[in-house]
Amino acid sequence: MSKPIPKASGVKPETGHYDEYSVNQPKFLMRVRQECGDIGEYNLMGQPHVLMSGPDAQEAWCRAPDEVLGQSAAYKGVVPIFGKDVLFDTTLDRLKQQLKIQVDALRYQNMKEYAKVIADEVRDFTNKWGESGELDMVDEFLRLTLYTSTSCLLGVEFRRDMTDEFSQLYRDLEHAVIAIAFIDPYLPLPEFEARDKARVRLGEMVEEIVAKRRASGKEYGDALNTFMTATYTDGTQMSPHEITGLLIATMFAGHHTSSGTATWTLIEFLRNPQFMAEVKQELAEVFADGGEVSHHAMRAMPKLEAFIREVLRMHPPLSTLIRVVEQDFEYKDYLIPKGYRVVMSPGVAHKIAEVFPEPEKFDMHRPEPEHLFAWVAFGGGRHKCAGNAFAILQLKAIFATLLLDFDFELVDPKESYTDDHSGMTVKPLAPMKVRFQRKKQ
Amino acid sequence: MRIKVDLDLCQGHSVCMEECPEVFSVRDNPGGYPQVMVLQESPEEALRAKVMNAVRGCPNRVISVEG
Repeated sequence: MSKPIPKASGVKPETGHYDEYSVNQPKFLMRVRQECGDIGEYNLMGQPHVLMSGPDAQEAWCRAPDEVLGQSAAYKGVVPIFGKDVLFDTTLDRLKQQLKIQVDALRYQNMKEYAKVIADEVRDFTNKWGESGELDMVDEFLRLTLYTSTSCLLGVEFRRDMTDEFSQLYRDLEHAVIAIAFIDPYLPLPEFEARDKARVRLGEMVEEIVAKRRASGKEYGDALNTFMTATYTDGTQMSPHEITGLLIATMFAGHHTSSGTATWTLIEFLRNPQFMAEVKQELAEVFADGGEVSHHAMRAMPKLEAFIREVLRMHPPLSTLIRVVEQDFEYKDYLIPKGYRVVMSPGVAHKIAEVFPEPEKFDMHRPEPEHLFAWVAFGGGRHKCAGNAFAILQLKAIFATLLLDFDFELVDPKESYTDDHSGMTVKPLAPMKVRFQRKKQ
Repeated sequence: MRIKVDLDLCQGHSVCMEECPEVFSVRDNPGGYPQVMVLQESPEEALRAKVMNAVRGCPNRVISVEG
């Protein structure tokens, strides 16, 4: 006999907890945990949700098989962006094969190539900054990471010839990620019309590069090359439409998440100068011989990595991850029925005081928790973010260059830099202004 | 030293194979992520440093070492 799932107080007829949830999602979810413990039920507009928090519950969430906790239903708002028959709009078997092809592009062999590509992009980008000035880093990092991801995914040639048209098409896709899209993504709205046009045009652009590359027979070290040459288990290759979809999906997964984390990394460096000094010391040692920002050099920077991991603990870019219960899901003495949504929240997980003492304090020397599922900035288990190593590599490459070449300071009072919780995802509240000064050679 | 891997966590990133090919290989897994394959469960002590590089380098913390 299973125990009833504890329910959060304050539920209203029809809307449930929606009002409170939409004002401040992390605060609401923390209240659910405080009231209910590791497993707690809340309701959004009639849809029951269960928050699973604490390392053991998070592990159970992460390890549940696809047949029990499914991803697809939670992603319907992005189906028209990725395209028909791509990822969440296909069978579980196809989804798994496409995810496998996606991870192929992020394997160690490609990664070595990316380290150099990213370092070059960062240098080109900052060369345009001039000697000194003031910048909104939210905007700067959004652009920089769009360039780095375009280079790594679509190739350096495409990036070099990249036009404003491409950036505009990508923006049209982004602007269609609105709350209503997760209810009905096919409503006759101007955002959705622009999205569908942009998706068609991007498909044409990718088809053109694919055709050129197939004709030339040349091999490239980017994701497009991997996607073009991959085969499904039945021996067929992905169509240009599917390749486009997988490229867009990969870009979407990595763009805002990485740029938001880069922004917070810089802000936290400036709020914690003693830690910045330690990391700069490490960089000075690694690059003492004027060496390149290579993949190998990137691996040898444990302090910078520890700093970035603490940034990801404090500011996880995805505050909730959602699955749909496809078959009744058992956890300890509880049974979560089919049709419920189960939520894991990195935002909650990383602020549990028993796991991370003094959770609001930024401390790069915090010992790594023993439980593998305590720190879940990239999720965990079979569907852990496949780009996690790429993301860390990219952040290291960005900051190795920035900290070596520039001095920065905050423009506004340090406590005024904060997150924006009003949108679909948590992001740094723009503008986040800093002053920079290029170092003398 | 005994090597253990948690295949639930493996996405085939292949860092282990690059760091210590004597002990780790990665094989295709039809219909899913590639998976690590342990070639020797109890490798000789001389390989410990390389094995530990694989443990630390694995982005998904798949590998653990006992003893």
